[in-house]
Amino acid sequence: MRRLISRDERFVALALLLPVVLLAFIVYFPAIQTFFVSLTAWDLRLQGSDRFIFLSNYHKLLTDPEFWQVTGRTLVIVAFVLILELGIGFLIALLLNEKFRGRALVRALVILPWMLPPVVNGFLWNWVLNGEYGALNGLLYQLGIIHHYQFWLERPAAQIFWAVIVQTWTRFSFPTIVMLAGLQSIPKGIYEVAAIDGAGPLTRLRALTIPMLLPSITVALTVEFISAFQIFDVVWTLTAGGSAGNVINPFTKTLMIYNYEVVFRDLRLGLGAALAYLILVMSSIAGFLFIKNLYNRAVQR
Amino acid sequence: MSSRRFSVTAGVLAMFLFALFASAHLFAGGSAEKGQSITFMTPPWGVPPDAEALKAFSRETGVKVEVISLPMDQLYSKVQIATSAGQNPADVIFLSEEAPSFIVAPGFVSPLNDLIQSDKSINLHDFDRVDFWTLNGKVYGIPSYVQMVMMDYNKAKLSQAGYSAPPTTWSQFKTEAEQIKAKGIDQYPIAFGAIDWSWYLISLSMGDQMFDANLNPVFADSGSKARSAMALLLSFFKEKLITPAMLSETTPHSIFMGGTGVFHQSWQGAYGLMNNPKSSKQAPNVAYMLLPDVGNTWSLDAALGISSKSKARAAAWKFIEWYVGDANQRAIFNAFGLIPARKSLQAALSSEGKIAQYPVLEEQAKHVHQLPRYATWWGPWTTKVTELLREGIQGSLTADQIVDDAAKDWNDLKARYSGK
Repeated sequence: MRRLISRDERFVALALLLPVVLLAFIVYFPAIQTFFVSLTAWDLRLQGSDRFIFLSNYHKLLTDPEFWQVTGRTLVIVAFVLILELGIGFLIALLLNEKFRGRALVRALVILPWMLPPVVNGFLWNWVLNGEYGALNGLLYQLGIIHHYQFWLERPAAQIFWAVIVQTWTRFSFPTIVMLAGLQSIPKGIYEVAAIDGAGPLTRLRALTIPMLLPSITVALTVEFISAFQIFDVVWTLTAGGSAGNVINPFTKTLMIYNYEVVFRDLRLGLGAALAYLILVMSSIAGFLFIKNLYNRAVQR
Repeated sequence: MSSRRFSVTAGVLAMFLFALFASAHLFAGGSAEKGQSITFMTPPWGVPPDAEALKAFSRETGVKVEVISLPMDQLYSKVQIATSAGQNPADVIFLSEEAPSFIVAPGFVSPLNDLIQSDKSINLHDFDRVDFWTLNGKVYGIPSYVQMVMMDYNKAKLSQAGYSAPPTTWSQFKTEAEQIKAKGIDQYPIAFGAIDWSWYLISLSMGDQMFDANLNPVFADSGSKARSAMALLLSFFKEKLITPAMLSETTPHSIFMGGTGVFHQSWQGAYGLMNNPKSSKQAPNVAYMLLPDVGNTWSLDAALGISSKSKARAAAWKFIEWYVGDANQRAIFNAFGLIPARKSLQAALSSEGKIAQYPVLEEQAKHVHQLPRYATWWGPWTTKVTELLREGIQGSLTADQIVDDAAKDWNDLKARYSGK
C-alpha cells in the first residue's frame, strides 16, 4: 500500500499538534466562546439573563453615543501618540545610527522606559505630575518658571495631553529599535553614490532613507497603532482615578477602559464581549490598511 | 478514508477530547466540601486578628477555616463569576455595604432564617442594623460591625480661624471654610472626595430623602434639597475650597491625612487613624462632628453571609457564631477600631471608656437614613453619579443637569434590572 503520510510529514504533524491544541484552547476556544457570549444578554447581576439576543449588543453599541465618543477620544490619543512616537523614534534612530562615544549607553537608556511595565510608568508620572508634591512642580519652581504649584492633571484636555506624553514615553523605544534596525540594513554605498551625484543630506533623507525605511516604519506603525488603540494601563494609573470604588474618569475613558467598565464593573458580559469584538475588528482593519497601503507598496518599490 | 489517515485523524481527535476533558476538570475545581473544612472570603480588615483564637475555634469545633483575604473590589467579582459558573466561591463571605446590590439582591448568598430559627445562640435583637441585611423578610447577613459615614474636623485649625465649635448648618460650614481659606490657615479647607458620596452626604444631611418607598428618585424633584446639595458641592470645587488633587483620588482620606483640609468626610471609627501621628499629619487634633442641618447620614455596615453554593452551611454557621462573638469582636475593635454590631458589646466597650466620643457617635446614629443599596442597579448607578459629578466639576454640566441625568440613569437602570 502506498504511504499516505511520509515519516517527515508525520513528524511535522506531531510537532505541530501540541501548539495547535494549545492555541485552540488558549486562543480560539475562548475567542469563539466570547463571540457566542456577545450574542447573549448575559449580565452577572441578573440571574437567567444569558438568553440569545442575536446581534442586539452590536446594534446597541453602534447606536450608543458613548461608544463613538470613546472611540473618537481613543483615536485622538492614537493619532498624537503615533506622530510623537514615530517622530521621536525616527530622530533617535538616526542619531543612534551614527558612531559616537557612549552610543551603547544611550541605546540602553533608550530601551529603559520600554522595559518598565506601563503601570509603573503610569504611577511614576502620576507622582511626577502631582499638584502638591510632584517633581515637575519642584523642578519648575526651583528654576523660577512657576511661582505656584500647578495641578497638571486638573483639566480634561491636560489629562489627555499627559496620557499621550506618558504613552509615548513608555513606547517610543520600540519604533526606535525597529527603525534603527532598518537604517542599519540600508547599504552605505547608496549614500556615497547619491553624494557624488550632488544629493544633499535632506535630499538623501527624503529620496533614500525614508523610502527604504518604509517597511520598518510600517511595522512600527502597525504595532504601535494596536498598542495605542488598546491603551489601558497608562491611562488607568495616570488619570482614571484608580480602581477603588470603581470610579472611572469619564474624560480619559478609552475603548479598553470602556470595555473594562462594561465587563468588570457593570458585569454585562454579553455587551462587553460584543465591545471586545468591535475593538478587534477595528484593530484588524487598521492593521490591514497599514500593511496593504504602506508595507506592500514599500516592498514592491 | 484509508485506515492510516483514519487513525491519524482519530488520534488527533482523541488528544483534543482528552485536553478538553482535562481542562474542564481543571476549571471545575473541587466542588465537594470535605468534612468540616470551610473557606472564608474577606477583605484584609475582616481577617480574624487573633490567629490563636481561630485555631482554638477549630480545635473545639472541628471546623477548619481557610481564610482567603483579597481586596474588596475583587471580592464581589469573584463571588459573582464563581457563582454564575455554578461554583462555590467560599462558604462564608464578608459582606460590606456594597453587598446588598452586588451579591445579595442577585441571589449569590443564601437566606439565614432557617439557621437563625433552629439555633438560638445568635440573638438578632442584640444586633444593630439587622434591617440593612434583610431583604423581603429574609436575613442574609449577621452583622459584624456598624459604621456610619461621618464628618470630622481639625480642632486646632478651626480654633485658629476663630471658631470654637464646628458648624451646625451648611451655610455656616461654607462661610467658615471661606474664612479659613481667606486667612491662609488652609488653602483647601474641605476634604470631600470628587465622588458620589459627597453628594449623598450633603443631601441627606440637608434632609433630602433621595428615594421614596417605590425607589423613585425624589432627589430630582423640583427645588429638592439634593439639587441644592449638588450646587453647593460644585461651588466647593469651583471656589477651590477643595483641592483639585481630589480629582485624581477616589477618597479624600489620604489628602486629609497628608495635612490638607479642616473638614473631612470621614467614618465612624476613623478617630484613631486620623489621630495617629504615624499615619496622619492632622494628629492629634481630629474630632468627630455631627453632620450639619438635619444631619442625616447612611451606614456602612458589614456582616457575614453564606454562599448560595455552600455545601457546608452548618459549619459555616458555627464559624459565624464564633466570628460575631465577644472575643473576636473585641479583637477586631482593638485592631481596626471597628465598632461591633452587638449592642451589648457596644455598651460594654463604652462603659470601659474605649470608644472615643461615644456621645457624638450615639447622637449621629439617631440620624441614619438608609440608601437603597439593595437595589441590584445601585452599584452601576453610583459610579455613573461620580462620573456625572466629575463632568460637573469640569464645567461640562450644571448642578441641575447632573441631578436630572442621575435620575434618568436611575430610572433606566431600574427598568433594565427590574425587567420593566
